[in-house]
Amino acid sequence: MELEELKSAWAQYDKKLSQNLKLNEELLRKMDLEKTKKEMNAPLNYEIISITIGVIFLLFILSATIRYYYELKFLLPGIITSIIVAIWVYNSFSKIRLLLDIDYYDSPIVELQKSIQTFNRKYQRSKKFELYSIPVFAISAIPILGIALRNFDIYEHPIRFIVAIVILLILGIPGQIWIYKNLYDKKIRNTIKFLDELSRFEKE
Amino acid sequence: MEKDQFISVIKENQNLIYKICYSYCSNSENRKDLQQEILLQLWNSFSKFDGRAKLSTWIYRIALNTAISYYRNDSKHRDKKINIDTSIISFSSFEYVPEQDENITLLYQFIENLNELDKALILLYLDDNKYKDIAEILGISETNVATKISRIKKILKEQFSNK
Repeated sequence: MELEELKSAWAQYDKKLSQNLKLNEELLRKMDLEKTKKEMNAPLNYEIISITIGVIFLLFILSATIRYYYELKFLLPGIITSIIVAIWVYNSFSKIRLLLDIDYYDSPIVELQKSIQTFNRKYQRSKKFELYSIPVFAISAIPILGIALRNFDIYEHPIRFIVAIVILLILGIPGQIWIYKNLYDKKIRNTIKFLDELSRFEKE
Repeated sequence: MEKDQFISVIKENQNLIYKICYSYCSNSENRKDLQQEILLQLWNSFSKFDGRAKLSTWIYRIALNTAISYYRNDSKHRDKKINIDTSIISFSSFEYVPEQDENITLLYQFIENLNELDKALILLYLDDNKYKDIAEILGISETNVATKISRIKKILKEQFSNK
């Protein structure tokens, strides 16, 4: 084999090497995007569970409210609970739609960053509403649930009513905060970090 | 932005760095080390690059000198940390030597058996650099380059004559 042939084989190799390094880069990008998608699966799964439970609960509360419409003390909490749960369900639906609309593999990183930021804004708004609405939910849901589930009028037992509200708040608010921290804040932070790294990597 | 410019330059020339790392280290762990060391040296010198030499010449000079030092086990810079993300190029575990291309495999085997300076010379020769540029990159005279390359070519020709 002549040296010139060897040099030309080397030049061919160099060309193929450049192509393969580009492919390798693309592969690394895909792997990073896969990581991003995995992170965002946690809030998506939680929202799917939330919407399912929310819809069932909403239907139950609505039917109970209709059943006791003639008594204002149950009708009013029934309506308030239904409105709160309906807003929760709507927020979950909007978040699911935003998450499902994210195209992790084919959209540019800037677009992905925008989508995550849009989701984050929506999440922050609904988080605020959810946290503020928990006390109202506790006060309104307990009477309608008591009467619908056990035919029990909680208004006749004010101490029990207060205890039930306190228990619901003690369990509900920290539980909800734990979910926000671990299923949303942490995951969104990781995702933003991955995307920032990718964005720096792709900047030419 | 200096960092962005640097990343762009490195990505443009990553095949060159890959070939140097691959020629000087057969082991992927060492290759990763050498790759980081080269990036560190390039980053440290980047602000001093004045554009008088070609960009590829500048990269060759720094990368090859780093590889030669690395090969000689000169570890005085090893503990320094690079303040940019070294994942800007990530081919430490990436190998591309086409199996079907026996010549390239043999060529790498041939390069592996050369001393550190000859490795640099053959790489620069194969990458079609002029003797003048090779001399400038390695800091030796053009005559010295010509003599050494002619010797390497002779051995190379002998090894590949039967292929």
